Amino acid sequence: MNIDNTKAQMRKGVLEFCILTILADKDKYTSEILSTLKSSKMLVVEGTIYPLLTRLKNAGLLSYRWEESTSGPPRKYYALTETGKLFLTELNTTWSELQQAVKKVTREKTKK
Amino acid sequence: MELSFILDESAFNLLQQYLEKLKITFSNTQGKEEIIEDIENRIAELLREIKKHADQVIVLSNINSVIDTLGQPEDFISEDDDQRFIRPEKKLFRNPEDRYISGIISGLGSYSGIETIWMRIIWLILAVFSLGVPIIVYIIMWAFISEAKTTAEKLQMKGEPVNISTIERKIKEKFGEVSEKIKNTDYNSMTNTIKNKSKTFFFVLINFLGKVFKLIGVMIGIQFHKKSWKNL
Repeated sequence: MNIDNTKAQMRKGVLEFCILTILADKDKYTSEILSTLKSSKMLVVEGTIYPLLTRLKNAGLLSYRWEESTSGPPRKYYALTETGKLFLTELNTTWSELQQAVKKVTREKTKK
Repeated sequence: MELSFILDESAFNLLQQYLEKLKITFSNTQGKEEIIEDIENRIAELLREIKKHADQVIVLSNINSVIDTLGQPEDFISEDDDQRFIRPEKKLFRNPEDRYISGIISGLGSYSGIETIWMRIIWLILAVFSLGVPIIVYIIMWAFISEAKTTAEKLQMKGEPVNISTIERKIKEKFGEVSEKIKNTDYNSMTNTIKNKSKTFFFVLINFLGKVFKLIGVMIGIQFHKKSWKNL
């Protein structure tokens, strides 16, 4: 079993959740999403995000619009749809449950 | 806002290879055009950051750093994006990589496990001795069997499992060929080789038929000779 692969799998699982969270308060364009994810070390290579964004968009969780930029090519701004917001609320609950479960498991492990 | 870049030859080739690889890797993914377009836009954005003045030439190391940032397609395609990870069974396709006319015979060869050369010989013999019925069958098959176009189909044709490592291997094989072709981009000679290949085949065919007829001729000749000898 490859440790890097396991790490990548773990990261991938929460990546969708992170993207939705980043977009929760404000619409953002792809490079902004990228820099947030990269600064928090959630993303190793940028390419990962593109199939993911397209998948989330096709699933109806995200929508996008093009906006002109003064300093470069037009930017693709992503926004959460209504379904996306509901989805995110649910993921938030799942995430905190999961976090507590993992905390509990690891704490019991260290007690022994 | 106009976006144009001047690339030197090696940088251009590398970028082209990368884009080609993207297309192949995502060929079975839903929304592939969009994904590829987004990545192309990102490449433009990254190159814009590299470009400091209007007539700066983008060199190989620039493209390499862009690729490092984006990652290799096989590293970021996820299995749920890819609909071809199921279906391990062998399928009958026409083989576009090994063909004289339509690739049916080599496809049949792959499917049945009989070596293509033997398949061709069997087919030829059948075509010669059963008054063209196999030719009609051939045309029908040509119409109904599709060509193996995607990497996954090519793997299915050979009954190989379709997963990221076999696809990667196939892509590498393909890139070997492509870069070889780019190295000697002499399209005239390329078309000539293709023509020569089919010429050799038809030459062999005519030669073979010629020999068959000669043999028949010799046999008739012997018969005739015998008869005339008897008559004497």
